[in-house]
Amino acid sequence: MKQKADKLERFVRQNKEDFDDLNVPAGLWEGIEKGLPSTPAKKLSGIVSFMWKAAAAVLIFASAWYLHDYYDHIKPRGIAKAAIIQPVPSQEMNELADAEAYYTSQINSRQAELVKYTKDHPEIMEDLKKEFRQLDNNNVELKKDLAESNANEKVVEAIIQSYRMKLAILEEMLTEMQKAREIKTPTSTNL
Amino acid sequence: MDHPIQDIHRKLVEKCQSGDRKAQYELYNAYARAMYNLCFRMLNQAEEASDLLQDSFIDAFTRIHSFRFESTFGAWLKRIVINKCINAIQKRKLELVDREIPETYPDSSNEDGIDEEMLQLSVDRVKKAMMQLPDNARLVFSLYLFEGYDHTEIADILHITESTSKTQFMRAKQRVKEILLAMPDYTH
Repeated sequence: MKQKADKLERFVRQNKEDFDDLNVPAGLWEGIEKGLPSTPAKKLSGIVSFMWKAAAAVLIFASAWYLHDYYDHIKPRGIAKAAIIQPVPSQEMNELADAEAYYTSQINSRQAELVKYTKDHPEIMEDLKKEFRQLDNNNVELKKDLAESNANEKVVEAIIQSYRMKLAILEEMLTEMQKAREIKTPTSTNL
Repeated sequence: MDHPIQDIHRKLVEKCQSGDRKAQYELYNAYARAMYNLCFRMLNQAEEASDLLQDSFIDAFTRIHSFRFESTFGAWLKRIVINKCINAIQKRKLELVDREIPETYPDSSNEDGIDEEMLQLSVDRVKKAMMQLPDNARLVFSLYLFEGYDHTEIADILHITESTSKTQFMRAKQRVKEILLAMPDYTH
């Protein structure tokens, strides 16, 4: 059975908010933040996103450069200008095939390694695959140009560049994952 | 229990559950002041209150994935903070034994013999009076009057009986009144 509130109880209840007059000491949040575990999934996701943007920027630049030259070439601007544009020699096509084989195997092995690190965060691999699919779509367009037109070595370079970007993204992610693992399992020197 | 409690911070809490630092900061801002004042009321020591609040938030955010919206986030956080306060006070136990309100103190579940009209109340005066209570008495006084727990809940939190909670509260309240009466009058 609840007792009847007296003057003191009523006063406290009616002025409850005024009793909370102390300000939180400065720096408390910073201390909390330090004590919280880092969020690797978010962080890496951010890195992937950043790397993807960097890769996209390079590809857009490379594509723009290529397209600029390409359209310059198909406009009839005279023999001298057209002569600058060289179709891809068969030797360069072979080099592209070699480069593709090399980068694909490198990318596959890095991806397999990364899968091991991201077992607990499958969303990282999902994000990565999504972003790689976009890179692949760009490559498909570049390859169409290469096959259908008298494209030049700049297209080859752009294709190779996209492989390099994939590899760079994977390398960066692996480095971050390794760092995260080192932080998680520090050497037990003070035990 | 069957119906999840409506929580105005539900979305923020869900973001925190996926480790969103910005959401953690927003929740911190929403509750830090009230929780700091709670800590200070219970511990009566600024530095300890600050350390304990920091630990409480770290604990809450680390364990937030286990929060199932069976209460509000505020109520859940408050229990974490209170449990930490109780642990801190229990560590001061040796000191407590000497300063506890004596059992022989008049039981004010009856008339406490104090003329209510004589009590001069202000936030500052009540706070000062409370701070003169021994730790355990201040704990029960705070939980009942400031944090809104009933004696059944306090008994559960402090692992005491309901009647002990009631008695301790009445004694603490009477002591606060005595201190208030002994304080100099308002000067303004």
